[in-house]
Amino acid sequence: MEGHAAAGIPAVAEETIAESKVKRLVLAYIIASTTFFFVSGLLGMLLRESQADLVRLDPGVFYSIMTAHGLGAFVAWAAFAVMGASFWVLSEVGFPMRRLGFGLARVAWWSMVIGVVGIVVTTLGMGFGGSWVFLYPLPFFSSGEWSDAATGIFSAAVLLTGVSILTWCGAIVHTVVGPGLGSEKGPLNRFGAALGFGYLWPRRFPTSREVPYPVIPLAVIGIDMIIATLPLAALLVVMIVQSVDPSVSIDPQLAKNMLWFFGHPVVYLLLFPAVAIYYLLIPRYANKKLVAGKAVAIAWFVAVVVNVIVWAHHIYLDYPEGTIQAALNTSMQPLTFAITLPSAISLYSLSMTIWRSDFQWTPAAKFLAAAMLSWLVAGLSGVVNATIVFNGVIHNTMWIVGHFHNMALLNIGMVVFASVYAFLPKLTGREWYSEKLANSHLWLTVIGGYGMCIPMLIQGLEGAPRRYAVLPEVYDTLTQLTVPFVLMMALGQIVFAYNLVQTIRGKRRESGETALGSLGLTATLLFAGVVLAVSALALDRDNAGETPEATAATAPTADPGETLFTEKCGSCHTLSAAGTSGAVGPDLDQVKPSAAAVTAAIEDGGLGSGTMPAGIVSGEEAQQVADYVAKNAGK
Amino acid sequence: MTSTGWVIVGLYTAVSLIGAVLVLYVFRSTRVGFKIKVASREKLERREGYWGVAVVCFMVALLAGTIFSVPYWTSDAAEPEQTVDVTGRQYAWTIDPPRIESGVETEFVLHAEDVSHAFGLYDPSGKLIKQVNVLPGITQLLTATLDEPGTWRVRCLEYCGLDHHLMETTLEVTP
Repeated sequence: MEGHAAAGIPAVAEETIAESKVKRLVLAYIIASTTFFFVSGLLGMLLRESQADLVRLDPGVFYSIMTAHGLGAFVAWAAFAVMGASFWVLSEVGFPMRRLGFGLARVAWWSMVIGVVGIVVTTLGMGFGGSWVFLYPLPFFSSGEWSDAATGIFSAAVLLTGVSILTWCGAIVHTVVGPGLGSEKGPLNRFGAALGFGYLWPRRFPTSREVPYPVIPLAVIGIDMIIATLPLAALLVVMIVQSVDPSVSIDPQLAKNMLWFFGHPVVYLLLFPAVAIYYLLIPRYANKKLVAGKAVAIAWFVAVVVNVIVWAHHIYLDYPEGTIQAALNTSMQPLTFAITLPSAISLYSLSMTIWRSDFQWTPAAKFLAAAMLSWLVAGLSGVVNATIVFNGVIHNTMWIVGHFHNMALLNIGMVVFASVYAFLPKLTGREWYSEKLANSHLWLTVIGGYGMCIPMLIQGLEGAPRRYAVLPEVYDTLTQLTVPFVLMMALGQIVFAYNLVQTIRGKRRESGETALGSLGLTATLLFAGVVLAVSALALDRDNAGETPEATAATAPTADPGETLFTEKCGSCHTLSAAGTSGAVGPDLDQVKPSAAAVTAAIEDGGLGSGTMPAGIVSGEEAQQVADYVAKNAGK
Repeated sequence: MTSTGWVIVGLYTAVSLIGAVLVLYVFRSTRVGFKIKVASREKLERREGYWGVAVVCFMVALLAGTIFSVPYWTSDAAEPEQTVDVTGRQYAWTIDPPRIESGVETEFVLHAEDVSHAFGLYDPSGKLIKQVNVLPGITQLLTATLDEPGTWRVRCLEYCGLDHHLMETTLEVTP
């Protein structure tokens, strides 16, 4: 494979793709991912406002939106955006694309777009609500909310996004070993050089120039995502087959491991290209070379290996008897700690590059600075997650939601915005419509974002479960506190959208742009956000005042049995008096059971098949439910 | 919040604040008038290595301080004094017996009948004391000593479908 035996490599560099074509490609990635961002952001806002009881969504709708929001924001926006930006980063550091890589990059765009449309159709259209991690076998236990066909099509759509990731990896690997590297060696050696091995072993991995730092994280994730995506693809294929032939299935524990074998590296599909963007832009604004020595190369060497073997830190609280999962999980803590190195070293390099430099504080630079802060604090909450003892406290709680919004939105998302602000003028030949609006976008997003994330982290520490359509009441105050911040962030994105559209239309705002003007606009927008939020809350209070009265009018005697029935029994049993239509257990309007029969069924867990658990309610409550059912069944 | 919760709050807030202040200080250093002396590039690059070593030391210390408290394998230590069978299914828990003694080491034997659930134990004041995931088809054990007498709440903490947020029950802990 090495050196002079390079028979397969043409002596003359293969023809490269013209820069204008690469520009159009990257622009297509930016436009598509930004569109997905607006849609999934809106869905996320709906989720939080439903939890805050501003617009209470039906649980089925809530969980479908939750599924669409997660995949939409994480994969269709953040991942897709940095995937596109990566090609431009490579172009700027002198790595032109060649025909094969360019073709793969186009396939990646199309399969992502089609896959995302499929996800939208199956979640919002066909009611699929298995959550964005579609934990097997839940997609096949829908309680009648969605069909197996929906599960099959959903799996195929997610598989398409997987194909997109794989082809993107192909495009990246193909480009980093290309003529930009300046190496005469064989393909494997050249890839080693692209991973930064030349910094550690310069004689073994020779290149005509030092490998630009932004290339290294891209090469790392380009190979790791191929390794990580294949098992997930296999799981998705099984799910597609099972949706047609129910006799096919897979072990849930194996499936969960396969999911997270992909689920950890996919976080770095967002982070590592974002690091490449940092490595490109921070030195540019600081007007000096990135401050980096050997340690950064060592850190990336650790990353490329460890990234694909730390998946089980997502399943610390699964350790079933008779399996090796507990031992596996324990080994994951030191491994995960090791993978903090690339982040820690990179933060050092970037900070020291900025340190006492003539830093140009452009809007893009400010977004990057805010992102660096988030990288630090969200990275640290990640260390909390990675520590098994701490994980037992915050696992499955809102803390996790706070952590990854902090990381994915306020670090990677901010880098995505920075890349749009920095790259768009070069890609379109048009200057930004307004720098002022860009600054407002920054402040509204940062303040709104932290106002949203911090209460989530606190709720998690207080034991608030995540993925609840309706949270237990004790957490309501904090949830409602986040509403103004969520609205503020939404407002920031409206500002961004306006600025973006005006820029693309070729408009330019020529007024004197003082910092004071920017501050004034921000203040106005902040004020508008607060007013909106307060009025929304006030509106809600009015509604809250009306609802009980309305209920009281139709049902003068509020029966505790009815409330209990609706809460505890209605999802499985039909009883028209209570307005429930569950189909798991017998239709009580038809059975018309006596109070004694109901009490017996509650105590013993049903009267027949044994599907119904015993003791769902007990004591006086059971009696109340029994009386209520006996009195109202069949009416 | 549990005591481990407070440890997280203390450690996390302290380290984040120190880090954030340092980063903000770096940003501030770009202001005119701050650039009196410029640190040599070689010096900064050499410090990269020291910083790397410092990070490794911090992580090793955290590892050493926490790895011996993992919740696995604790049930080997002694024979539990009471055993509770727990079954989760969409969307209800069955707990047998539904009444246990406080202050006694208890082994929960957990099963899931249909999809994955997670067993989350909340004490009478609403603190999340213990949790564990339960996969269908396998037995999951959880050992805990419930000290607080009263009505404990069990919530499902792994998303399990339409009525996931309603999947809860109570567990009586007698003095």
